[in-house]
Amino acid sequence: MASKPRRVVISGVGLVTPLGVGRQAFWTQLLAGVCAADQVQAFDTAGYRVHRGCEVRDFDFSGLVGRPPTPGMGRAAQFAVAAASLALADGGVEPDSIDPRRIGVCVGTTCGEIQILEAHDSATMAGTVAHDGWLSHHPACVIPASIGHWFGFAGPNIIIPTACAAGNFSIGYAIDLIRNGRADLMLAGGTDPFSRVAFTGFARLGSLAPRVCQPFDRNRRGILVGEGAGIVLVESLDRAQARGASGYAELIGSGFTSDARHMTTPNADGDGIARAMEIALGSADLGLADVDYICAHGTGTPINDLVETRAIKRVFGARAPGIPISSIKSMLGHTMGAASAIETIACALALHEGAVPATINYETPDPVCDLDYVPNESRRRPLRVVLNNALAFGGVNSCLALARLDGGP
Amino acid sequence: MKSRGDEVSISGRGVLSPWGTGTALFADGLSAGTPALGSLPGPECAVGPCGAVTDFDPSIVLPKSRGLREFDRTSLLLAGATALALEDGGVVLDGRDDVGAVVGSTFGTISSIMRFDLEALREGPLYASPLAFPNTVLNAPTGRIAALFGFRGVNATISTGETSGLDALVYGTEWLRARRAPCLVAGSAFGLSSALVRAFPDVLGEGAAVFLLERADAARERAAHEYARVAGFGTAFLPRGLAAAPLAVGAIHEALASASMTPASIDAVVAGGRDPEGRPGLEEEALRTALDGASPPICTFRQWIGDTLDASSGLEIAAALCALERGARSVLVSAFSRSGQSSFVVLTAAERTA
Repeated sequence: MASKPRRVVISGVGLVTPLGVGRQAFWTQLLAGVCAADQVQAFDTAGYRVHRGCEVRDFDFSGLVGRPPTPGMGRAAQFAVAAASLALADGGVEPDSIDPRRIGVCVGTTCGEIQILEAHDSATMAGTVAHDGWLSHHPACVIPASIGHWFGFAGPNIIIPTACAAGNFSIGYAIDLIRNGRADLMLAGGTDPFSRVAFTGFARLGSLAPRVCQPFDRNRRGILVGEGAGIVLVESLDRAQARGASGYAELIGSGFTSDARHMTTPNADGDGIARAMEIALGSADLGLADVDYICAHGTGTPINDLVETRAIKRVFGARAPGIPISSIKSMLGHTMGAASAIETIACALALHEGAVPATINYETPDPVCDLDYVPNESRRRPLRVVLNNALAFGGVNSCLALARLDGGP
Repeated sequence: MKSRGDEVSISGRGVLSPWGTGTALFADGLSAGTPALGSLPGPECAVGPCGAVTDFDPSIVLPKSRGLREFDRTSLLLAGATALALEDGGVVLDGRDDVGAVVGSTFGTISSIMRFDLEALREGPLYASPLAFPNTVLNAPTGRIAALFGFRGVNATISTGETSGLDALVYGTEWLRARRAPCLVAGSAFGLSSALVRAFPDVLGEGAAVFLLERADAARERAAHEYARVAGFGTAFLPRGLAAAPLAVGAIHEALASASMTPASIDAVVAGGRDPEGRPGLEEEALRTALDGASPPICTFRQWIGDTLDASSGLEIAAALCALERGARSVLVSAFSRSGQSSFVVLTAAERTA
């Protein structure tokens, strides 16, 4: 007879986002419904029709972690190291106090250290050399390696770059590594810097919103490219309790599927993300009535929001209209490989604090997106179980299920 | 503790290497130590020596699909190896929702990103091809094969560089042990480009190795041929400032212990022949220390085909299967990445743990 799987919790969170750095700043802005959209500063957008995005302004790596980055460390790794440092501090863990072999790192990304490659390309066009060591510092594997080197952690060190669902995959794998005993603690999440390549690509797909991101709104035009990092500290409930950590939420289930059809467009019937939600519910032994909130992928593109709405209706049937669903991308933009990690943290804080973030910029209801998207105002309400959806290029679908820890609101 | 239901088999394989398309050419080249370095085909032939897969013809190996025009070189090689592995494994995917793919790929998309970005810089962003954009995400090769072959289960990419083939095998093994699916494909791939051949200090090669991983009970049920069991694994990251050799030795011991084996029971080692940056000789030192006086033959092959980066540890698994076919009972596969990852897998002959 199979033994019951080890219970796994989020015991610390670290955030570097366009809404703010650190848990308190992020959560306050999120509940206030602040929109981070602004003129792009990372590069000149004169050649584009859209000029807005969501960037992390005034990022001070040294101020956050106490010393400057190592030579060549890119913005994605700097975000990730800073978020990891914040997660450790938030979770009350001193890096030097742990057996380095028992703490691992698992992060996600979309394009890795893309700004390093972009600088190399710009230099190539100009006939100069921008970054002498671009080949050493660009590949995605340097991101978890940077965290491992920075803190001296020798446990599993993995990057799962499943694009916009990478955070969910990384946290999902961290759950597995804790459950099967390969690590005692995991730092898991996602990171991505503001990318010219992504901005260009989404512009050419006609998927950039001109002004703000309006998920589920009838007049939604697309995404706003964003950047940031979200890292969670993951450990077993037993271990967290033994060291007196209170924790934010329990990670109780996960589901991962593939559309197996198109690289950029989700299946119109929402089958892939519906199956991911069903698997996540089944893996946590949950019923439909247990779910109190869904943190939607909610990119703000016409097709994504329609497909996700259809999938939620398929899974939850008559219960779907009664479940609050929101997209925090309306505030943060789409932070790519960091998105679902930041959204997982939003879910954990929602459970811990008893509040549902809103979908802002919601103006005109769409007859085909007719569920409760928590328009414009966050809500206070106790939550027991929440789902975090994330879809991605490559036909990737994912869903994490989280539950309130005892003692929540 | 591992139960019988946790056993995972390799029941299909597909290999593309500079020695040619298919397992037989790989085994022949490996056995003879045939040098396979040449030049890139076509107008880029002058960029330098490299190990290209020159005989691979997608129109013969792959199912017909208009989408193939949008595959980059890494995705094409991955698709080729996947087609060979599925055919070899004899698994029918029709109607299955749970069969997925786990692929090691890190460096293979760099050229696609550069092409897209340079085109946008050269022509203006409004002239960049939207069809080329999907190849700029690191999980593009996995997404491509999922669509081509109909993998509707997990769709994951591991980007740990040179260890990613082993890390994908470990991820896939854990996925099956958790009983989320009866089987999946796992492997790694890297396709050459002139930009990377120019940029890398080492001689590069390309290739792909994909394996059908299957729960042993499912493989037995359909009377599949089992090439090997994934008996155990261990990994360690090697942070600067900590002594690397003891950590790597510990990971090798973890792999052996999880396979319930001792150093003396390892018949052969397939090694990557690569050390992390700034730590020359580490792999050799770690293997010698961990094997504790045992001296199984150690095979490396990058000197003949070039450094195949992500594909390299996938090809090492293929080499280990060759060793098992030639009579070895257990093989340790070792890989280190430039960035500091070390991964080890123990493969055993199937009947050993049956």
